[in-house]
Amino acid sequence: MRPQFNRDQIADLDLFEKHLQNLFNILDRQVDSQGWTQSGDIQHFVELFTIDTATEFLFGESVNSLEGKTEPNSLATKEEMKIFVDSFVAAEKVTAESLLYNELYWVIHDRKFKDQCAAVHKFVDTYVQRRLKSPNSERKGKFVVLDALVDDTKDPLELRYELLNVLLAGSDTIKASITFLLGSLAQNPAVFEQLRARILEDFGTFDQPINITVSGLKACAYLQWCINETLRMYAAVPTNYREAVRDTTLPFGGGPDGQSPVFIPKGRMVNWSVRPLFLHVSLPRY
Amino acid sequence: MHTNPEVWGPDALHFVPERWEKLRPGFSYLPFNAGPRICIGQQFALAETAYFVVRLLQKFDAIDGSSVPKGRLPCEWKLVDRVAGGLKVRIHSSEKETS
Repeated sequence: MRPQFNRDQIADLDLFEKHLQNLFNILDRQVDSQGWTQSGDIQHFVELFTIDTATEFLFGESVNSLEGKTEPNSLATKEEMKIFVDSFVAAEKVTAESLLYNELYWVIHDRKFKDQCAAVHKFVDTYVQRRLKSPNSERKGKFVVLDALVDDTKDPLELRYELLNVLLAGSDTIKASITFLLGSLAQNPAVFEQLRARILEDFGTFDQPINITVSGLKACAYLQWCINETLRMYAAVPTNYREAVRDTTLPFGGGPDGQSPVFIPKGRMVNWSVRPLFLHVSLPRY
Repeated sequence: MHTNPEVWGPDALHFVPERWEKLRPGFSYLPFNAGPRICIGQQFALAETAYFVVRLLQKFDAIDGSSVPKGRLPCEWKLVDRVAGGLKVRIHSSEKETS
């Protein structure tokens, strides 16, 4: 899958626009006579937006959680989609805690968590089964992750877990980055003004947008600086790990002075904490 | 790394987009990791974030952050970070006059 992801056209801007319109419809209904939206948690809406785009990109069909209705011929009902989204978000929290419990993970894997996992699996499996039965993609001419995966494997379990992996990686991280950027703009009105001026200059008005392409977005320097600055201060992934595929060594970290190599046997998990590594000055940590 | 004053300057803890005009931090900036296992979705994520912000700021001309805490935004840990307690803001439609 990796070569396909390296292409610029992997990001389908029409897909983002479609789900943004659903979000704007919700915000429009909130706007009062002075032009302000209600004071509420915008992170929640960003989360629904990234789940809506990611599910369409992955399965070829969006859960449309920002919209009241499903698409024609949808495989799942609105209720099933809602259960999936709620279960996915809730089970993610327990999954994260499981990493801390390590081999004692089963202590926190209660009935509720298992039900949530079952609901998530059932939902994803529906799309996997449809794709395995039908040779045709649901989104003709568009890149769908499930189609790309099926070219490599027909194993339904492998397809399920690959899809869930990309769903997590492709929605929550982007949700976090967008929200931390909006929070930083709210804290820095001068940056907001400057960014908005550059955006109107490069991309026109909301009703008459111009040149919003992947290369156009990359060419808007101030926009890229704001995104860079957000990822510098609030990198979304706080911890990471690798499993050794063969016996190997790490160059440092062993011995009394930490300068000797460390032996890592095949199958051993090595975890590193990204957040303290990035925030290396005296800031509050975990 | 990402807040090292030797790389980023004395204001490393503050949100200052202008610093990127001259800075080329190299391996001191690794939000997507590096090497053969660099984040597979980097281009997708950057495009989605940029597109979202462009369309939002075309449509809305002000943001009220009076309910947002000062200083570093609080993080809450799941499998990835999020703003702890959500982000409470109001935004102003560009179709209405600011009053």
